[in-house]
Amino acid sequence: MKKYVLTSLIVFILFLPGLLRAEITVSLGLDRTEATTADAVRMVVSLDGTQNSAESPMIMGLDDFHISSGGTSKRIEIVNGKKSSKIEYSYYIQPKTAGVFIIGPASIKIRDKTYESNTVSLTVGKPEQSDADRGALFLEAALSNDTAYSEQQIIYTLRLYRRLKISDVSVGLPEDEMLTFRQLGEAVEYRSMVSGQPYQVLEVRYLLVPAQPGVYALEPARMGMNVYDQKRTTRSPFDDQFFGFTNGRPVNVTSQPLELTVLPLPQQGRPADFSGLVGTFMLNSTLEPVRIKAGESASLSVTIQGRGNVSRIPDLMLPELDGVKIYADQPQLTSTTDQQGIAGTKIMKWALVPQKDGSFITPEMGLSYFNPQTHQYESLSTLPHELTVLPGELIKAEESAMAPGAEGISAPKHEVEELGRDILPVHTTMQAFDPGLNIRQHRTMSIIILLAPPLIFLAVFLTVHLKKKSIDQKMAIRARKATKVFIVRLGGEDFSAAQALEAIRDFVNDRFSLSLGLITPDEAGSIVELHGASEETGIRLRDAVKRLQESVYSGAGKNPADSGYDLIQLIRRIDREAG
Amino acid sequence: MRKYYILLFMVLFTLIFWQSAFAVQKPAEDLFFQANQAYKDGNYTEAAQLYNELIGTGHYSGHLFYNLGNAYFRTGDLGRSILNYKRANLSIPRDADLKFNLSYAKDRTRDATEEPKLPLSFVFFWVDSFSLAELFYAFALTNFVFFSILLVRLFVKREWTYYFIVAFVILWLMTGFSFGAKYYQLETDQRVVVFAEELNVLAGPDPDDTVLFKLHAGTVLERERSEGNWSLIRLSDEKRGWVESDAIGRVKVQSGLL
Repeated sequence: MKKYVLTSLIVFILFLPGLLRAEITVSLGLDRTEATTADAVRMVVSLDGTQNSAESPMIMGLDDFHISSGGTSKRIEIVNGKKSSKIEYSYYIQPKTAGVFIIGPASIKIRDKTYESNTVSLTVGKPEQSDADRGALFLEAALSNDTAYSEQQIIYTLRLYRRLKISDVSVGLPEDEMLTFRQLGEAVEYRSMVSGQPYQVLEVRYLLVPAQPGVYALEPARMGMNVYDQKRTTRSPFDDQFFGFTNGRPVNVTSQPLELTVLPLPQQGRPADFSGLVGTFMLNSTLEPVRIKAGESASLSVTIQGRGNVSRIPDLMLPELDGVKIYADQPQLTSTTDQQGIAGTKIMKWALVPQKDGSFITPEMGLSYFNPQTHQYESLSTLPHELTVLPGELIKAEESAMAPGAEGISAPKHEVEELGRDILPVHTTMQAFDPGLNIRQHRTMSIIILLAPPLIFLAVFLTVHLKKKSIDQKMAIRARKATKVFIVRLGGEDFSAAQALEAIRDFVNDRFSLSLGLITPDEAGSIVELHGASEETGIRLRDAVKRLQESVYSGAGKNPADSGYDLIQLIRRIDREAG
Repeated sequence: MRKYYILLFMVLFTLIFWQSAFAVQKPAEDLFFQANQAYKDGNYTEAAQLYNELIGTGHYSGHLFYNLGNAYFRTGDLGRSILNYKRANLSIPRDADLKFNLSYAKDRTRDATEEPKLPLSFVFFWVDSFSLAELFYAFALTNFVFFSILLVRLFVKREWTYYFIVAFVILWLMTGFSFGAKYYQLETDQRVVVFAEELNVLAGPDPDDTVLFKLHAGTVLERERSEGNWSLIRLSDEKRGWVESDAIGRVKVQSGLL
């Protein structure tokens, strides 16, 4: 039974990821959104949620591109028991002409069902014409705009063109107190043609936000790296670790200087409610539901989204509305950074609770911003929304409850609605006043409390251990002196058999740390043999003890025994032989 | 005779332990009632002052910090309110009123920032729900029982003592490490709360340095170090800068809050 349960459990664990797998989705992405006709852009179609695709994806909008395959990769991941499968189809596309192109959607058929991806936009420009050979390694800097306004987002792009192998790249940006650089995403790599030469390009984009108007001379940017020159003469793998490349040498390349003109935001036409918002923005407002009963709640939601200095999107104020209680929610601002800069969304919500029936129009709310593309201030405002309010159930119930003969009718139930927010009161009981144990203030006492048990244990342990050791030592001394004591007891004078038997018993007890009350001949012999004495010695002791016992038990125990000389010799022999 | 010495030692031990707690009880009690009355009468500034005075005498009760947080909230000082709620949270982390008020106060802050995590909180995630004193009691009790069983085993080598020792070794390690982790967290707590309504975060410790970004009252962040009257604060790797130390308050109370 146990075996079956374990087997079922293992099978379940093995199949669990399959049960939890994700749905199939297709997505299309480019490594850049801007390129020139000389560049090769990497395009990836990702198929999430399956590994079983017999067909390659069909991609729309590629008529104006040269296409070459970049390979296919498959991946399976199991995270927290959730399995995810992914196939990535890579392509390199090179534009034939300049323009703005919409690429996609990519579609793929799996088990008779067609899945479609998103579309992406690619802006293609013409490459800079330069007949001069610029060498195997050079750096270019570019600004998205030479002229901009204060707080406008500008993209500063660094492109490292190379035909050599490099490593350990570091970047030094121009420095100016009034300019802030912020890297946009990871560096991307692609291939491009310059003056008829193929180059590998490393592109890094930065968001540049000027704080104040003025003309800024941007010093050349710098890139430091290790460069590995390609060897053409040697083929020996023992020359260096890179099989055809020499050891790296540090190289610094600099870009050309740039100039940026930052204009102040125009005073003319500046709206009174302008908050310093610069960029392009959209506003959207919704009211849900539009038809409710008195006492119920409708939610007015305003979403402002766009690209620019989103942190300056103001909190809109909803004017009071007669007959409607308004509860404002905390505005939520989310911002994201992509290759084009910072984009963000601010969502503001209000709960509208009408206190009476009728029709209400939500008041208009608006905001102004400066659009650097149109060079003027623009305003956005919410649409008026109509809220139709019917008589509330509570009012009706109250009315009917007041009517004659309506006893026993229970009132209708409502969701408990939050009508206001405030903090809870102070704690005034004496328990609140009690600080309890403060370990830092009573540090010594705390240490004593923690150390007392182990110290007490240690003390008892040592006491027990030492006591045992002391008994052992005492026994060892007695064992050492046992023979001497025996000789003293029996030496010199006559002694009786009972005394001799008693002396032998005490000798055996002391010498071998025993506590026997009586001793038989066999016991005596066995004990000495057990402790290393020879068999002959054992037999002699048995005989001696037997003889003495016979004397004692025959009533002659008090009579003088035979000469103790033999006994003393025997005891000495035992002492010598025993360990 | 020895028995009487032990009894005498235990009585002295208890007296020493409790004497400091009762030494300033009477005037402090009066202050507590005065502060509560001031709060009730709507004199929130006076209430805050009295609660501060009480805390200044060494009464580091979580409930007092909570009350002080309430008083500051009523005066409109969101930064100091959140600071004191945070301090209260160290002593009474499971108090429902505190959770509610702290959540409400944090809702009113303007900066959408993620609060800095205390060190080791990823591994010892449960210690946030206990105060240091509670973890101390748990460890002290386990410590006492564990060594008592070891002591018994010196004389009684029965099988049950072995299983008890194994069980209590695990408990002893768990409570000991939890107590140690909490102690370390409190000792190294670098969290600060912004007091100023709007605070300029500068590129250097000088008023003429470039303003990098702005913060608002109640935002909790991490302090890296201080130089003179300036502190280097950190929101993330990209957002670091200098602020005047008077414009922020440390959650950790220098003289001890456990």
